[in-house]
Amino acid sequence: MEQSIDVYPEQKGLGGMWKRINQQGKMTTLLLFLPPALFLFTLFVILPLGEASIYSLYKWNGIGELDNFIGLKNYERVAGHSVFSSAVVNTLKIVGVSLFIQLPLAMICALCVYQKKWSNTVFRMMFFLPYILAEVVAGLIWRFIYDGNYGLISSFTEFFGLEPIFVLADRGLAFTAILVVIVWKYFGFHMMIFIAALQGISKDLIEAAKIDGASTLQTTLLIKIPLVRHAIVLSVFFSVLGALQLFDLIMPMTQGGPGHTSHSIVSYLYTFGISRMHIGFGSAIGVILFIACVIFAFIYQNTFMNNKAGGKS
Amino acid sequence: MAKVEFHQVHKKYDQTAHIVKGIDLTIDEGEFVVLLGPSGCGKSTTLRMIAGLESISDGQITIGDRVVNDLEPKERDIAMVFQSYALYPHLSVEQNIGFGLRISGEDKATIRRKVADVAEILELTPLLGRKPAALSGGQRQRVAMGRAMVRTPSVFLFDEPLSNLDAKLRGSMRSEIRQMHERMKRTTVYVTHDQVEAMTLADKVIIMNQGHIAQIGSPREVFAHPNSKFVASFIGSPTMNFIDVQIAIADSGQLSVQLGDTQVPIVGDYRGQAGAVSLGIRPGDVYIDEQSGPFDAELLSYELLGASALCCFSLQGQQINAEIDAAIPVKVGQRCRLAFDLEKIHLFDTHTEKAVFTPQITI
Repeated sequence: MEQSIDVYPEQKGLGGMWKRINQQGKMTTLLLFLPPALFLFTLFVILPLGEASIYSLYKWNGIGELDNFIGLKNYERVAGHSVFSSAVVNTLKIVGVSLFIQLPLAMICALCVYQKKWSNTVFRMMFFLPYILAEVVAGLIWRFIYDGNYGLISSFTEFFGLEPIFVLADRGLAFTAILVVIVWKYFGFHMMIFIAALQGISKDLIEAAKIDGASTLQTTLLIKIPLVRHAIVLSVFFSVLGALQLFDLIMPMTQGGPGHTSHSIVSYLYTFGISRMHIGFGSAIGVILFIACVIFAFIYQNTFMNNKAGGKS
Repeated sequence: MAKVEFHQVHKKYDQTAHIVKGIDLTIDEGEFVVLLGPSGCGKSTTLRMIAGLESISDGQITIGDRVVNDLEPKERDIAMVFQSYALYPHLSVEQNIGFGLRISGEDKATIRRKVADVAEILELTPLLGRKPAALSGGQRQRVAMGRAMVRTPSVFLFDEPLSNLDAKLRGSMRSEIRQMHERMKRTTVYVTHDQVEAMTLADKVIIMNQGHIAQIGSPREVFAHPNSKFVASFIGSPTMNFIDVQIAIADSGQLSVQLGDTQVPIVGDYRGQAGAVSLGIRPGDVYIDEQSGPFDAELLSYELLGASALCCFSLQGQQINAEIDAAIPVKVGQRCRLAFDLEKIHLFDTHTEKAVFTPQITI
């Protein structure tokens, strides 16, 4: 007589339903770990953003009731403000300098000092030191260096008998001076990322390239750099997001001056939004910046940072 | 093709670690030479010195007519297959094989043709568009060989190329390497610690020990006539038995091996003194002979290997292995009479560990 064996006996009632939902304990894990993360994300990201979005629709100075609803007027004001345009252009300049000067410089330095030798360790430390400094401190140091009366620049001008140059007070030079400091401050960080990636390249591959007849330059361009592509992609991501958020180097150096020519988007937000107590206006800038960051992060992550893209040559 | 010569070559690291200790060596044109030895014996360093990946502390290496001590790897006209294969992970199989040609400035059509030819030989044609990550171990190995072959260098270098493969694949790759050598007739230097690879592939085996060359010879030669106890113990599986015996030399010049109360006459050229020596005999040359076996031994363990069995005996307090026909019925604890093939015994000096006896072979 044939006997049918029920491999998956149907369990009835609430207990059975729970067992079906909680296959291999997945639901337990989900219930255990998701709520705290969701709570913190909501508390520190979603709620402030939601609040800022609401404030951006009001003319509000941060004190008192939210009662002056002006719709999208704050956004219109931001879009029509020439200083905002200049801040956007400056931010794009920071992105450009980061990508085309800072990262290549970091890569060159990394290629020079990535091998494990004591002398390389010293150089690595020297190059990384500016990154350890707090932005405000670095800004103050460079403000002194650029000072036309007492700074390092002044000793040059004095030595050559030239007129003193006040770099940070010069509309044409101030932002370039900030760009120099940005490169100086952050290239060491990217260099460290590249060093870690370069040290991960198998020695055999470099030796195989040598045997295949590749010169040092060819080995670098055809083997090493393609093999640290993932690190470059990551560094570009950090660079662009860092550029979009740059603030605390600008404030001690120029405070966005002279004549609001050296603002980044964030320093513009702070100066015109927070300092002048235009919280609604500032919130509108914040929302715009957040959307820009999210769009960039989303597109970049999907284009360059997923595994499929990482596997492409 | 090119001849490779070593003249008193040394390799030291930081003046403290002396890895290669003054080796002299000639590898003839078109010869397949295997450098064999235990880990740390200096065989890979020797290979890397030929490749130019390690500098030479002292001495001279020549490839063909040129002293290559100070030449870059690319100037030595060599190709190398690495233990890890060292395939460029971001390049396709086709680009990996053609990398050397691309570097040397060959035009695209020539590169494509040469790569296609090599891929055809190595049966890689359907895989040319794949990345190394999408290949099996054996396929990667063949790509690494293809990369070496496509440049048709004077000398091929292999650094333990089969050690990452499973036993079955290793067997088939061994024959592919041998076929490649037969086809290309290039001088080949192959490093391994696997004696089976050495015995099956080599025209000449160079056995290295602690930075020195212990013995050079054909695989058959080093197996049958090891010149030292180290070579004798390193070559052959199961490993050779060594037992302490006494050599007695009669007034008539008759030699005999004495083990306990048992004395067995031997015939051959003995270059040592009467007294203690180490007798070496391979397990396959030890027999159970209940009628005329001179040595009484107790069976300690029995391992069935298939057609044969490995038996461990206690002989006068010393352990000795014998590889016997699996059909012979024996039991652990049983006492047996053992006999040695006296034409295949080896005697080694107890101090220098050099071979001191050449048995006379009766035909």
